Amino acid sequence: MLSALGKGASMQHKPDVAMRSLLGGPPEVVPVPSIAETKGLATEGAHMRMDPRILTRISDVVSVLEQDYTKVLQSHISDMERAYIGWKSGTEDTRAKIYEIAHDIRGVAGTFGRPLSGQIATRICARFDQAPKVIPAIEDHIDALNHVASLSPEPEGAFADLVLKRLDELSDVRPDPAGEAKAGG
Amino acid sequence: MTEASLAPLRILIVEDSEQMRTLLEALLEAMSITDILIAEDGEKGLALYMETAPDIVITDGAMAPMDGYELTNHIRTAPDNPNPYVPIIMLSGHLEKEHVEKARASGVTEYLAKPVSWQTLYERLVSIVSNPSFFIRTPTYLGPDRRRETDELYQGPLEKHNAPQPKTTAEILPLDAIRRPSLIRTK
Repeated sequence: MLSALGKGASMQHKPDVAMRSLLGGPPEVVPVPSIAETKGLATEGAHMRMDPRILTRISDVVSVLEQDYTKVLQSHISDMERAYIGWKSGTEDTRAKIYEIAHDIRGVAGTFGRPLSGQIATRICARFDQAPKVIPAIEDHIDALNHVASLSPEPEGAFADLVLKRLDELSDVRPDPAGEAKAGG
Repeated sequence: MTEASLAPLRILIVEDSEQMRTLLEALLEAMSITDILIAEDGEKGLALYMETAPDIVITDGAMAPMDGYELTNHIRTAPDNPNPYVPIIMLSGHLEKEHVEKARASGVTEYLAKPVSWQTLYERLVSIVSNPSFFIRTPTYLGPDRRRETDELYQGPLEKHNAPQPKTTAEILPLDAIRRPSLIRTK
């Protein structure tokens, strides 16, 4: 998980400092009290820590949601397959639908214990971003996603790496026929 | 140190994905937070924010008609906003530098990459609730103060170079100790 605005990232990017330099003077620094203080959740200066009971509860909730998500994911992939068939037959707006579904999957699947599905969906989005007309091996990606989603638990480790590597290889060498037809037309 | 009770918080979720909304709502409820407001895009989120003044905003990045960056910008700059310093956590599937910089420039408090780890979300919420913060206000920017660099013009409370520096390896372990033959492991 990337906390991109955390300490590591702030060492490199300092837009506020750049702005201050441009303005030629120091900015106003506004101290903001903690929410714990303003809402009376803790006394002044007392730090809060994560509650282990809540951690357990969250873990339980996520487990339940993971089971439900498997069905949701399979339904998403069915929609994606239908959209792809539509795209192949020349319905242009279904292309956006494929991207939309893949974007949704990549944002959520990892949280529901399906990181490989999320990574395949991320690749689908990337293929669309990189090549707006010719989408390399898109059918292979959708097939792989469909297959992976049918497995519980998902493959991980070396097998997952192999699946992703194979999709990358296919994308490098084989453009998608539907996209190719459109690019030509 | 006290264990975090987040129950009294009012949190606004602005997210266009139904699954993500469901997940976030369930996670917040597991944290005993029940005052949860939900909007499907930035425009509705802004309206709900102005109406309800939540303690924390959790927003997606890419949305239409108003995205999370614009939403953050509006919250930070709206003249009639009673709390422009509200913590804003942005969840985004876009990890590219330009998106991160855009989020920073709009004034988000935290930028978390999707897929969101629930442990990270809880940890960030506890940290945001627990810690006071400093904001920077200039004519063109209002957002968290993230300065870390040495700057002789700035004498503010967050300047890291004013704090005691950690010891270097050489200070902790003198060089002659490293060179001492007895410390070199042999067969």
